[in-house]
Amino acid sequence: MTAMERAAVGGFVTVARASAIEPGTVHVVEIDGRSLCVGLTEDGEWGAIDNVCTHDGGVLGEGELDDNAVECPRHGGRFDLFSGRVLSLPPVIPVHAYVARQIGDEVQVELDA
Amino acid sequence: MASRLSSADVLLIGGGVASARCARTLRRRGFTGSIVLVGEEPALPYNRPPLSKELLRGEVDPALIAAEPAEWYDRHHVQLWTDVAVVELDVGGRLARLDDGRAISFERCLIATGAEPRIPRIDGAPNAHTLRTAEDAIEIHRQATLVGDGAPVVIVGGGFIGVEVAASLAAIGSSVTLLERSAWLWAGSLGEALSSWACGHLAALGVDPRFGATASRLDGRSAWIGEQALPAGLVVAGVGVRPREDLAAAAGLDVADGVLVDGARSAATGIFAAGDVARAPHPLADGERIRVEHWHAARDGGEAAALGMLALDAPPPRAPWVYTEFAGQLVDIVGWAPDRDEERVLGDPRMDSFAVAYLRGDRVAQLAVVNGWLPVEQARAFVESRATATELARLVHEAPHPGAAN
Repeated sequence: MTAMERAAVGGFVTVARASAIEPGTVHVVEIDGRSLCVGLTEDGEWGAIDNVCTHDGGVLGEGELDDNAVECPRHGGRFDLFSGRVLSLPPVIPVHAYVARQIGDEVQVELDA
Repeated sequence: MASRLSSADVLLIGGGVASARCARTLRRRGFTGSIVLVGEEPALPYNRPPLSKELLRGEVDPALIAAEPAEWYDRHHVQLWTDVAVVELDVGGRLARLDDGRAISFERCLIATGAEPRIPRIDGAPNAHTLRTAEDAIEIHRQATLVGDGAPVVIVGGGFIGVEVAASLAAIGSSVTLLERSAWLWAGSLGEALSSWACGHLAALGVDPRFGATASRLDGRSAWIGEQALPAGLVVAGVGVRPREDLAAAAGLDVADGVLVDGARSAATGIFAAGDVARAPHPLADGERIRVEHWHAARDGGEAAALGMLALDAPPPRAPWVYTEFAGQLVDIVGWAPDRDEERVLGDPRMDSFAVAYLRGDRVAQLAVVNGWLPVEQARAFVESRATATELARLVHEAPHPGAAN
């Protein structure tokens, strides 16, 4: 997506089709040179965090989502899908979180400037 | 004593990761029946790996070790009975009796009673702390703080727990001597190269590792090696664990250094076992039963038990995965090689990013990956593919480059 297209949706970029994502799962999305972990909770809320576990580099988007907790598939560290906060060791450093939303069938994430 | 009888569709005996993971998997798979989890500790089920690391160093909020947050159990209608033990299991009658007089009937049951530390068989052994529970970790931290900065601490046993505890206590200021009976850390199970490299990191923290050294007596002030007294304001023993299989044995289940299971299923219908207490056949051990006392095994075993309870096929067992962290280093060990013919070092240990391959015959039976020299998923798949020594060249070629994680 070009900068102009992004401006047209107010800083949000479309990262996925909502209908392709099951509730209670996370996915890897590569966008603008970044790797994101995008997820939909069972309650229907979208969230996005950086995809790389701060403990050992595990791919969070390949992990499990339970409630709001994304679990790293490597050593079981957990992050909050909405805030990036560490919920469970071994990571101690949070990951960056992004605002995510659904417009029609588009999942959109607000990337930083 | 008045017996109060409850019932549950699923009874989880044991308050650790295997039980918590079983409950989680049951709910994730849509199971709506009643679940009761009985744990002997006062705390919610928690992950044990941080006990010898962050918790021992006093660095973190203990809430960060919970297997699931407290509210998870409410939200998913899992009843937690903590601070209570199952003392009798009637497999045929589907009934468990608890030490507070309660009894509970069940349809399916998981035995995940874990393991308990072995006590060194030496004079004065009660003077040594052991580390199994969060309470143990908090108490050892308290004692280390009490004896003060620079105070002498002796660790008995240079295995996974001993190495991690030595590094953690040294990091908070203790002057640590580590006694290992064999010539290498981890009793030589991970070979000479990894042991030598790890000793360098322990030494940099001020840990004094002594090999061929066995404590013969503890008197509360010193640890004695024969006639030599090592001052010790605190002694921690990490000399292995034994599975807590007595409940299962008394119930008539097959027990031999662990509850014998296939996957997580025992020979008794509806009775499962997982985690430190379970011994299951593994393809990488040529079908022999193995018991793996580590976090990944408890997690995977709990999941397999849940699938078994739901009569769903469990995936074939993955290669055992053990990890250890000390002195800021991470070692992931995948595969199974209790005996081996050869070890080969891949990469450069001086870069703190390398791997060790353990060969049985021509097959790579196990890989120890240091600090992400190779993505651990790739290492695990490599071992599971029963790759041969000649294929190690490919692995070296594919490894990102020395010093790079992932």
